[in-house]
Amino acid sequence: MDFDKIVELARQKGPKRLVVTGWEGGKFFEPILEAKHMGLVSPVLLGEGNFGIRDNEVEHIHEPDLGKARARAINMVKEGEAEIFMEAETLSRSLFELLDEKKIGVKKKGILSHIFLFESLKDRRMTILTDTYINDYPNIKDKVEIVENAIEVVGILGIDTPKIAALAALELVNPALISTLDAAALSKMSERGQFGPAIVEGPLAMDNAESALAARHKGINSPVPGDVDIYLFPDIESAYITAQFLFVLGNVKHAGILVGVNIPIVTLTPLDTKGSCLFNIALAVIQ
Amino acid sequence: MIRSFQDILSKAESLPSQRAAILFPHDQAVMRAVKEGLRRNYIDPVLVGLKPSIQAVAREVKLDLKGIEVIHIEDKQKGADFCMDQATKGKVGLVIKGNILTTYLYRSLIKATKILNPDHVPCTLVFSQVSGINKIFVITDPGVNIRPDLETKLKMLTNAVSIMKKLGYVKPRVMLLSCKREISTELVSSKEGKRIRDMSLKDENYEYLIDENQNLIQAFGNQPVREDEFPDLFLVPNIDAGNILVKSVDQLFLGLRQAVTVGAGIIILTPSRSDGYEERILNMAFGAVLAYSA
Repeated sequence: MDFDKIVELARQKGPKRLVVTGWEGGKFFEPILEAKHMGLVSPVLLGEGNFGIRDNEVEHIHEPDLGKARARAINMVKEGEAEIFMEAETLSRSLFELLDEKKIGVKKKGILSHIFLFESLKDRRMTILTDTYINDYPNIKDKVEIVENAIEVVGILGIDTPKIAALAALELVNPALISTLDAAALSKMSERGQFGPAIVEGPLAMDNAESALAARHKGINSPVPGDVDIYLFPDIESAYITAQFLFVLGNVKHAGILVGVNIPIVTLTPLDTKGSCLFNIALAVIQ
Repeated sequence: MIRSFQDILSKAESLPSQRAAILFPHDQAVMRAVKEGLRRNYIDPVLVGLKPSIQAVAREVKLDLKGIEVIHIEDKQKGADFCMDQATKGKVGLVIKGNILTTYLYRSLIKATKILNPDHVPCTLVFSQVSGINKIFVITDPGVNIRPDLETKLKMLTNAVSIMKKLGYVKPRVMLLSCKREISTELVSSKEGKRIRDMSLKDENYEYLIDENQNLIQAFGNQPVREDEFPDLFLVPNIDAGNILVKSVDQLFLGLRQAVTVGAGIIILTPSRSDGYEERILNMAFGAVLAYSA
């Protein structure tokens, strides 16, 4: 699977009714229209006025209050009047708190998390990093839920037996480094079948996660090194910094999804561009 | 200022060899690199470890040990302590990690630093080169300090900048990385970064310039990177962030990296145990240049 295939798959499954708030800033309006023209979505814009919209075919609902617009948009998806909710602005604290709130009813039983998908520069393989935006310093319970959230997403990409590298600074378990303890616990849980068919290996440093040879050199015999689908990061500093470097210096083709929700939601982070926004929409369509 | 590792290789060719202690060179890739480092005149090696294993691997890679000092030490920690002692006494210009856990060398370096200069904090510096930007940038600390506090960070900066100046960086631009973002604004890394920047602004004698931005997105957003504004040195908030980032440079970005660990003027080359022959040759050249400049 690569991004072209995701867009093609979304085209086959679309158009889906996409209800959008926060579009008035205009930054991500273009990819919404592009997704419409490609047959991925049929947008409904909730907000103030319809200025700047030249396309008469875009449905518009007047709701100048952003809070009310969000609540109404989410309700439309829950009631089946629309299929995807999107806020066309970088994820704000107020939106995050709304989605994280139990009573709004979009959060599953666990925590919310974020995944960053990119095409590997090495072999164009679709690779996932998580949690790249939401949780600062997840504990072991949070990490279990972050793994479960990521496993669900790779299912839509056709990966039924995901291989997950639980990253840390070292591949040895060191009581002074909590990331290695958490990774080892997750790895043991995986061994006992607690993540279904998914395989979690850890702790792994990035070099032995990426290379089976390097892993063997350090005595790690596992099917995960060299064949990783999901990189689980120990904290936000490691995850978001790596994702930023990949984006800024690697210029990778990428997308992002908010996971742990029970309706398809398109959110945007500061890493998003017009190009990635289209992929984010396509991923929501195929969910 | 060095712009590429090719610059390092070229410079190393023209310098006298450096006396180097190689700890536990019990591995073909390590020993082949020693052989080539010797041939290129980068190093004058002292091999420290299990003598029978050293002799066996040397035979495998056809390295004639005649004229090369071999020190038999079985215990890994004692071997690391011996190497550090040699560096402290100025008998070797650098120490090179062979097929051994870096932890042994870190322990010895921390001990030696406390004796030589208690005010110093050892840290690992990773010099990184990726396509798309015509400069080598440095990331610290992916190796020694797990979660440095503000005072430790200041000492790490002093240490890192002193090494960088030896390589020709005049007033390095430093970014104190933090992932403060709209949904989470209270990160310790961000608060400490701001304090360090405020301190630096009050004193024009600071040998580095702290970037007001705390991450690449803040600095460049979706715009192309402006090379003159791209930091020379990144200080990461913790060891996990640093280690994963530096290893992503070659594993995910297909770039190159070279690691050195420094403390109280002692230089240890700390390639990853998984590094192969080519990386280790470059590492030796890098060490030779650094030791010469020290």
